[in-house]
Amino acid sequence: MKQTNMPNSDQVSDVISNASGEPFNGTRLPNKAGVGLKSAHYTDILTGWPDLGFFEVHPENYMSAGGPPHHYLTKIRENYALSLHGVGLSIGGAQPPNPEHLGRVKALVDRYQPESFSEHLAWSSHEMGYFNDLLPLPLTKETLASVIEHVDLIQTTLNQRLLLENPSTYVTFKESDFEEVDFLNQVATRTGCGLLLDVNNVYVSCTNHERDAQGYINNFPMHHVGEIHLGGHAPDKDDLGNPLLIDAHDRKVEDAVWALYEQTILKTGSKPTLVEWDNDIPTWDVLYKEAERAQSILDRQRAAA
Amino acid sequence: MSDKWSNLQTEFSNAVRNPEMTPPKELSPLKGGTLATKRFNVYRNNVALSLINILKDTFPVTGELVGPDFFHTMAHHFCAQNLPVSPVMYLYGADFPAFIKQYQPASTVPYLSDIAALEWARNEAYYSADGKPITIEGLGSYQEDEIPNLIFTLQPSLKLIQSSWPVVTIWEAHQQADTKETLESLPSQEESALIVRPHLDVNLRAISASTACFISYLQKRTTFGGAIESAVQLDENFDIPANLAGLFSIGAVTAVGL
Repeated sequence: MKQTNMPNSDQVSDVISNASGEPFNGTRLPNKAGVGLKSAHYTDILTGWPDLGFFEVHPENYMSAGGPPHHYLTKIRENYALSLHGVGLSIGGAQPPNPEHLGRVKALVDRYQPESFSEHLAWSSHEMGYFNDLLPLPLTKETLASVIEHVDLIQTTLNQRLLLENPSTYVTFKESDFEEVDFLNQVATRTGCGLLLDVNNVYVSCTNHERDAQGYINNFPMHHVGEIHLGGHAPDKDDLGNPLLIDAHDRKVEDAVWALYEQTILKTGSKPTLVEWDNDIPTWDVLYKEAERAQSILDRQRAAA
Repeated sequence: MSDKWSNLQTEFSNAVRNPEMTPPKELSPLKGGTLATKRFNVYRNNVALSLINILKDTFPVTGELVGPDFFHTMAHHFCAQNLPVSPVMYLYGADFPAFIKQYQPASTVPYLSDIAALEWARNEAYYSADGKPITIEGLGSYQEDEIPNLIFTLQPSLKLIQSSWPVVTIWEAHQQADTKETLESLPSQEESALIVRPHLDVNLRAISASTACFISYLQKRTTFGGAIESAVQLDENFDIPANLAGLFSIGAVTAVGL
């Protein structure tokens, strides 16, 4: 992937027209590699204009009245496709998404007109406040009904299709009516939302719960997938000394996750692919190299197809 | 709204926030019936550490003044009592300076709370609404006798911190890598701090008590003449032209009008 020195104003419109010829999976992101946008990299991006498919941000980091975050995001958005990836709507909670917060998300969607909006199959708020983490839910008929209701509400309010992401989990619940893949498929089928397949989360959760990651990918309803995520995880051990992987987003993507990603892409064809790195943020070059690695896998698949 | 799940969420939330509680019994045990406590602790750690890390990022000088271990413990106490009210995390920590003020172990560093207040004001200025500065030439369209009646609109980012300690000197000493240790001898004078973001960078400068008084009245939309009067009461040598020019030159004024 070469670095281009000038912003390419054709890039975004190109992307939309390219995507319109392919099945629409709830996203207009290009089938290229992108990265999570970090304030530490604003200057690198505005001086180097790297060749990337898109940038992704947490809308929660751009809810201020003004300041440098909006200044830089506006400039970057003028030249790249944009994905808003929420962490605060608490879709998996019993209570509906907080209307005030949903209003803030809507204001950002209206302002930046992102090619994609995504959220998590998880909860982050409850009566006592906001936990700043993605917490797990039991996959029951009861939670399926409330998740469907919440996704419907969000899609109606935002007037935009949502991509729902499979989570990393560290515990499971005794009561469970569905496998995670079936649960996500039901939500997508019944709400018309798309899915965001986080391959690192598949690897983390399957390792933690002694499930077959390859089998999870094989069963995943790929026709709903609008975006793929990759990220780094940290190894730990549980109470019995068994492997416990933590979705830390603080390091490079593991080779095992790259292998799982390559198998996924060979099976499904190119998908917009994001490298997430949220803690112990590296220099721009290190993050860009991760995106290049994802892009080379996408390119190989395209050449083979 | 599903009641059973809501109740389990409440139980889960309480256990996440209270490390001495056992994890919810609705969670699957490990092989042989072992409680998945270490697994549940991942969530406890994620919640606790992510909040502490936000405070570390927002209050770096406060952290340097007391050292990382002390700061971690103090932040941990604060976070245990204060869960964020919304997912907008740059708003988290507004009450931290007030918490520090009554946090007994920090009483040996009497200016710590004021430094935290200064860092919070910088954080607010960074995220505040943008304002386009005007130059002092903007006053040229008014008659001389109208000037005292002018109302100034100041930058939305503008904050004043009044302290009995040299807070700006202390903060600035912590911006250079080689002077990060506590100042050998503190200058004894008290300082007021002016924080303003005219464009992208947040600026901080020490100002006199009378200048702080002058600006605070302008910010409350007292007339220019009224603000001068209050400043002169505090300091009979208050330099009006210098203060007026200074206010414009730092980009603090966005509009004037009658």
